[in-house]
Amino acid sequence: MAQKWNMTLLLFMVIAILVSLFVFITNTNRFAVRSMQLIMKNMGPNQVLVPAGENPLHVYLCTEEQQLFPEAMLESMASDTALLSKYYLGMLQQRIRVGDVEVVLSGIRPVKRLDETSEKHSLVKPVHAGQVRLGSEAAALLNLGTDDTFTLGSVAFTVERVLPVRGTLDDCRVYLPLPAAQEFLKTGRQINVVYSFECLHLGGALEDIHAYQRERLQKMFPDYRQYNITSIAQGRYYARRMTEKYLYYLVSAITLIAVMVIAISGFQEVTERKYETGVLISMGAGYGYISSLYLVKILIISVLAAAAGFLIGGTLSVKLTAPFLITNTRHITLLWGNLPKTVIMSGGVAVLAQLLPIIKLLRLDPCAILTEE
Amino acid sequence: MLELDHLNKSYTKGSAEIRALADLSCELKAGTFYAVYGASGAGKSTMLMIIGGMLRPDSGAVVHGGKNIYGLSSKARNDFRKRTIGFVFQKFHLMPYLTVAQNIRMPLSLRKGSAAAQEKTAAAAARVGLSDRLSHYPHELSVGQQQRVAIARALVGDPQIILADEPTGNLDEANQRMVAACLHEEADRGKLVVAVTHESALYNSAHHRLQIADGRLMGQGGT
Repeated sequence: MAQKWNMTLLLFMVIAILVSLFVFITNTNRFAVRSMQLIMKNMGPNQVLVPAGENPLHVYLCTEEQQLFPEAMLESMASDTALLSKYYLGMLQQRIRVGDVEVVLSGIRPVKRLDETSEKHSLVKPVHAGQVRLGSEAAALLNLGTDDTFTLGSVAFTVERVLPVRGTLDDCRVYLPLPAAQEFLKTGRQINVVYSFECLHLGGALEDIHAYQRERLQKMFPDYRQYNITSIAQGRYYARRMTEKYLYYLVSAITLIAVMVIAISGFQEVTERKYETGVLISMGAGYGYISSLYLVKILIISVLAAAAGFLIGGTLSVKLTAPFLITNTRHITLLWGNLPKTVIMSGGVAVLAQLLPIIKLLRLDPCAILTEE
Repeated sequence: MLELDHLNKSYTKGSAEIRALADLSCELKAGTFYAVYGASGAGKSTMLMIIGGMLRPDSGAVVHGGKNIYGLSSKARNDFRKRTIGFVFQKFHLMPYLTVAQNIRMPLSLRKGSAAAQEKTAAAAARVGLSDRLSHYPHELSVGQQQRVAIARALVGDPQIILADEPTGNLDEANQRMVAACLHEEADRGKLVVAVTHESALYNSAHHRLQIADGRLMGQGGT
């Protein structure tokens, strides 16, 4: 009898451990994916939208030759939810001299798309009226720090903050509200570039995503073209693919191990209890009834073990998740909403795995068992 | 009570065909203790399993209450076993993790609406002299006591037919006598008792003896 309890306990522990591993991985993976998303997002926009006839060189160098187009295009693009872009940022950018220093004047206006969640916040924070935000190089050249006053023409601005070094052209930018830049450059309500973040949530190959985006843009906004900052887009794409593959592999491995453990212990139990099966049949029990005893038992064990595994895995994911995975958008916590799903999945896998020994049970010959000498 | 009508049963073992029962027919009456004997492999246990609705014959019929039990659905045949048959096995086949009381009660727990299970269990245990062992586990009992538990388990549901396969095969003489007495008592109460046996004591005490050889009924006689 003790051996039977030992086997039951062993089965319970194995399922609980496997479920806890599953919960730990899925829970931490959720945050790992989100962290990678944010890391890539923090690298900045990965897509540039400009007029179709624009020479990108002028955009890269922020020259006076850049074409201007209506600021209203921002809203038009942001309202097309079929486009994969998010976090639109309209910019009027131009190299100017401030005293002896050359900087890139960058009037910005972020526009939120309708389906953007508030959880992630905008990719670029707007600069409020009367303020400027300085790239690190611009701040150094202008000898300005936070709360200092920056004067452009006759208008004074307060330095809201100085951005950390990025090692790109952005270090030389002086960000200010778009209307202030338009007024200074006397362009009216026009901009010369839209930056955005191409969202890869649809999955599939990166080139397919780019092709879809180009096709949609061509259809809806034929006078504009897009080009990608490929390294950022690729980084984002590979980060997602890697975490997904890693998750799928581990989940498959865990499921396979669970099926094997349950099936092997089930085979052993059917063999060990063959006399009981024979006796029950001689008493008038049917195979359906006897099979249901096995299935109900494994279902009870797996449901209880899944609940225990959920608690263990969830708690460990909270306690042990590496700090670099923790983001300010999601708090690592026990995801109680996943408990029913986890329990149902565990029960389903256990019952399916138990069907293999049940097939063996159905093939037992009770007469041969009961008349064994 | 039970009619065996031209029963045939064969097994294949490898390429060889073994004929376990060959055109076996007889009538088994209530209130009678039948001893079935014959050499090993003669078909005695096969006959017992077929009578008990456990093993479908290749041809022939087992008629009970005017119906061939192998003409019944699987569920109805299970029900026939549940209500009508009590099996006793040579190796007892008690559940080691159940107490004596729980082992005896097993057939009742398979029946829906079996009232007074506790009283019936106690009565069955009393009939085999194990009233003081109800909370014991099988491994705490002697071999003879274990077989008595198995008999009590077969009797607890008050079946009309008791089928025993070498019920005294593993027992000493005293326990053999006790088991034989139990089976006789059931026959005296109007039950049909069929026991496969090699033991002369049980064989000699039976009301009626059936000799089987090569699957055929070679002879029968009464005391």
